[in-house]
Amino acid sequence: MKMLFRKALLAAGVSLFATGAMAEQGVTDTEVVFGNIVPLTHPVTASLAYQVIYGNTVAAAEWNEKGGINGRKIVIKDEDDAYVPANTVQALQKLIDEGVFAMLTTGAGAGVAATLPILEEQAIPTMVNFSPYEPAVNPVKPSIFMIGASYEDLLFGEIKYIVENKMDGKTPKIGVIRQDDDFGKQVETAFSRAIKDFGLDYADPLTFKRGQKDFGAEILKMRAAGVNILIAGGVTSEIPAMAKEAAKFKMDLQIATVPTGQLTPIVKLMQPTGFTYFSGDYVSPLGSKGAEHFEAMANKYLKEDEVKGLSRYSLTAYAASLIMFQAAEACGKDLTRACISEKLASGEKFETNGVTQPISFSADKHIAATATLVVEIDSKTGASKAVTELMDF
Amino acid sequence: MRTGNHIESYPRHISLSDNPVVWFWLVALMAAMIVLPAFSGLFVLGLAIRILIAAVGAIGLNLLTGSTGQISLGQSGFLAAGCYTTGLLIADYNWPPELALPMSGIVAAALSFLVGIPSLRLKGLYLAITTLAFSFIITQFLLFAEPITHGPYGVRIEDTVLFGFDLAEPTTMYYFCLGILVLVTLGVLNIMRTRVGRAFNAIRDQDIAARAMGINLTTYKLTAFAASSFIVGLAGGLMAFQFRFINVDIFSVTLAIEALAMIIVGGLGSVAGAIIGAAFIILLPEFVGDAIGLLPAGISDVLARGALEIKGLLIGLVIILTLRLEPDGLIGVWRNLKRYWSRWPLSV
Repeated sequence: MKMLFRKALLAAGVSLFATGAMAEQGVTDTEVVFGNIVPLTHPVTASLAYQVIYGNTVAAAEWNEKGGINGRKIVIKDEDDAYVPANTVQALQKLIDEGVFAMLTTGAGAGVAATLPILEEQAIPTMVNFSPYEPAVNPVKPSIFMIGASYEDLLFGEIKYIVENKMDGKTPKIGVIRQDDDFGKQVETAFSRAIKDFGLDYADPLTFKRGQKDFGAEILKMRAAGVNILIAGGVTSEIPAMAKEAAKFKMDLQIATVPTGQLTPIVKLMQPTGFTYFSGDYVSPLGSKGAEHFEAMANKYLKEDEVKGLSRYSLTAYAASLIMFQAAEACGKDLTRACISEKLASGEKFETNGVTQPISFSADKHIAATATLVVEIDSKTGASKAVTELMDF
Repeated sequence: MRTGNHIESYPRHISLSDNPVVWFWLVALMAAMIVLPAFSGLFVLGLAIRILIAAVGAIGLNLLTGSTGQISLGQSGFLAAGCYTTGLLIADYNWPPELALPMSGIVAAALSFLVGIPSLRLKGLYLAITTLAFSFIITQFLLFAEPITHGPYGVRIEDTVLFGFDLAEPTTMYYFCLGILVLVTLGVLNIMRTRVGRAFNAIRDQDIAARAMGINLTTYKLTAFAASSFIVGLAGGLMAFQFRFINVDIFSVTLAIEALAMIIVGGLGSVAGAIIGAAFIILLPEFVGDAIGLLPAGISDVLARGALEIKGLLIGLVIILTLRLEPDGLIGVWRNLKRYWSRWPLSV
């Protein structure tokens, strides 16, 4: 009797152990649940957040139509953090409670930073892509990966292009007006690097608080200093607000912006200024050959008004999702978090259907797609074109 | 039938509560809070931790604004000072968390003299604006003193082990915050039963009369500032363990407004009100989110996009309604209900 009891206990223990080893949060026989944290209710970045969701949605729909990940349907749960780091942590905790397996996006900037301890502790496979944040992958964290060039590299590439091609014999003098946060610091780093590398004359950097609407005083200072290359270091509406003032004072200016400069609302707001300005990117621009497949899929899976709302953020989210799904697929039926991280770090090349060059990470390098191209935008016509090839800086 | 509350001795008069029913419900509440982690997931626990920390901060603000009548909008500054003190001492100076946490309160209290002394002659709106300016100074300092504060990059806290308990573990953090809240609650309730507490109330109700009765306004106002800031700083220190990554973005002006909303909605001058108010304001957006989710798809999609604005609108609306309909806040509603219940069927 005693022997029988022991055997029963042993059998129960073995089955419990086996269940524990096999069951991975967010993975069932029919579904894999991915999480997404974006600032859906932040007044400035809400539209970008929806663009990210569209990118994820297209990738998931395309993949699900092909049978999902080894027969498991992809489900994405979105959470809002309103661009507040405390909320990003809260949103991540909620998603973990709801059984999310891996993360496709974890907020932006400080939000990413705030979630790093939990992501690391729980070894949750994560793709940082909405807003590149180098400390997320440097030093390397086993389950966290990032695609995208830093703002520093993007802006540096633009300034290099402007100095080499757009000065028409004039002596370049550079200035920067940047947001007073971690994003703005990266912008200023590009400014300092350009001064050092190209020996540029410069005006003292100016800072502003997020959400500032009027840049009359800042632009006047730039004009007084004789600046002819301006890094407009805002995220969205600050860029046209600076350009509007510069146009009012009839400044002859080359303007460098971060990738948000390509967004349709920004281009429209830039239209009255008449400036042709620059932006940088690491994904193929919408309308280009590289984005053809994505746009076809978006037309197939999204509503008409959603297609109109697409932007380069949709492309980055699409690329990040595809990479994650491919790594999950490579794990076969036995899908675990450890396996995804291992596959991502294996050096294998992941395809993004032309949106970026094939992506690969390694054990000691969890960042990819760092090569950037320069995009020239004619605000009068709204047309944008890549004026360089992808280059590493 | 109960007809009133007859107190016949001084010890009964100053006891925290002379009603065994109150003690019974308090023990029941504590028991419920102790078993909460056993039944909640990470999200609910995270929310509970936020409420506990907010309640500590609200009690601190209530001591200054509710009990002493000094309106302060500088709470986000003191929170930031406390949070960064703990974070930086642990991350950059390798202080043990056991010492770094109390230092958050001490530094915030020391800073309170900077704003308290120049503000001694100020009242009402003038004091509110002065304290608001102080919080701007603090956040700007944190942003620009990069060699000391890491500037916009924020501070990551790795060592979270306090007396052998790892606060990175949500259940441990929950119990630790609960313990701090109980200690702070008892501490403030005790202060309010002493000469100091009664002096605070006298200053709030009529400062000239208080001075005529021999209360040194300078001493007691500064004491209120220091005690309040110590508690708020401590709440900031707890935030450092809660997030384990701190950044100046966390300490916006909205936070100070929310803190004020907590004590107004809860009931100015009441410790229990501050706790209820903190829970209400933290849970409000969650309720709003859930309520929006219950609406028909078309409407909920539109409203979900404006959840942040709706939250702001609701907080404003709740403050207006509280001031208009029940100036004693939620604690006043609770007292009315109790009175109605105990005097029924003669209650009006």
